Amino acid sequence: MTIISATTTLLSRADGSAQVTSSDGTTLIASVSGPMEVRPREEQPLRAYLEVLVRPVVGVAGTRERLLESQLVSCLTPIIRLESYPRTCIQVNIQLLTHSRPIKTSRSSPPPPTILSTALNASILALIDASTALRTTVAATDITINKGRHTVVVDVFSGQLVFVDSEGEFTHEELEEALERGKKEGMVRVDDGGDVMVVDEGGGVGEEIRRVVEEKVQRDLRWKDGK
Amino acid sequence: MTADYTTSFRLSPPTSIHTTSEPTLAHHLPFLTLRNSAPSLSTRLQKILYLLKPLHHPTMSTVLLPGSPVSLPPTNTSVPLRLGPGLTHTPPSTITAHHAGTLTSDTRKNALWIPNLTRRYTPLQNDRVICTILRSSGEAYIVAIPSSNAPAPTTITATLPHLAFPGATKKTRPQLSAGATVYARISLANKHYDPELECVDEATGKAGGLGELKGGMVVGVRCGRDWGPVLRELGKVAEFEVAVGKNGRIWVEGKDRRTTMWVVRRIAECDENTWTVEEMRKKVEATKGDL
Repeated sequence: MTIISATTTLLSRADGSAQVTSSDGTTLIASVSGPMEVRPREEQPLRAYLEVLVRPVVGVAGTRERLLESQLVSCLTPIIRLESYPRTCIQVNIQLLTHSRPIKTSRSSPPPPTILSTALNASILALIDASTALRTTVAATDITINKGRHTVVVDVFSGQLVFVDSEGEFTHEELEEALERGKKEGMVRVDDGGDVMVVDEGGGVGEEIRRVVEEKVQRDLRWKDGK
Repeated sequence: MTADYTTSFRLSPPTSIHTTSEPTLAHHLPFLTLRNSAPSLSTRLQKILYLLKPLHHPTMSTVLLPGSPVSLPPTNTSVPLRLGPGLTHTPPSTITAHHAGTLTSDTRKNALWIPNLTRRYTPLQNDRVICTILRSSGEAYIVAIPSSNAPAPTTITATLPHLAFPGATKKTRPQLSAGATVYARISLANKHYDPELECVDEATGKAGGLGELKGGMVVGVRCGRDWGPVLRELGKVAEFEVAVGKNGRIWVEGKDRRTTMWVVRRIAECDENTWTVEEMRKKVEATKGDL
């Protein structure tokens, strides 16, 4: 799975936003608001309350969206420095724009790709756009091996596994292989004192994220040039 | 092993320090002076600086992602190293970025930070902000510090004591009504409390430009930009008074309404397109006939 197109800062009223289209045909907008006022019930004295809301293309959010929300919360909680924003709320909104509905698949084919990886990549870009303090940058990718589908989320610098969601039929070896491939796709090329570590020709999702962020930073700081 | 289930697990985040009393995150302080908090730390860092010198240094064009380790550029060893917004120090010697941007340094002050453009304002001590009076309580005004053009529920509330005005006593204090726009200095900012404001310069006891802003118009822009050069360009052709709030609000009052609107439009366009001073100059030339 790769990111086909990604844009940041497209919503004027949100603190940060990103629209991402993935090669599996999912397009969605993630927006970040916060740190902002929190509902008294959810107020935490030493950290921010992270709220993720997923809205489907049509209709109201149901069980599928709730599952996605809980997966996103568990992925993003260790990434955002929530303790920097006590007694506040950080809200991540995901609005699906197009999504091929999962078709009932036969047992011989792998389960359809989920929107989790696209939603996570978009959320990370929106969080970076909002300048929310993050511990690290992560990249999510979908890996399909035989009858198994794995969403692998890794730290783009160390390749450390942050989250994995697997579905279908797979062996232990296949899972290991998926993790290895996810790590390769998610990591950025590290310039370590001149030695360039080549990850993959063209780069994976991690490189894509870096490219989008670089564009954003250059756009934001262009006022500094040409005094 | 064949499995047909959904599994998810998560690993602990990369190492970082969690302290509740002493924030290690420079994000909420204008600058974190390492020597003040731990004298030996700075000397140790200086030694590490020396060791790091032969390694790769990020140039101005290198964009850091959150979590990027920062290798320190050669610095001035007589002054303690200071970390500004966007950088986190993890003892003993790791410095990481926590938002995206390019590393900027000031060799003379021995400071490092990552500038960025945001819509969300985080209060910092000594920042001058443009805020709105909400109501008056017993001893202080309750004010809202809005961030750029963000909607109302996202504003920060702060207190502005009745006595924090030049020459104010219990009997004579400025009467500000709800909705008044005030230019104030943040005298106390901490992530755990609501910020406190003041409209008087402690050293001189005078207003020093702070106080109520009467008339004029407020425009919302993104926080983090240096508006000086752009406003000077506008000042070459238009006559106006201006106050720039760090919270992404600029108050403008021209010699007449036409001038005010013209200046506000130029500022809004400049923010929207992140114009350089050169681009602003061209726009000013092209539109000065409207004045």
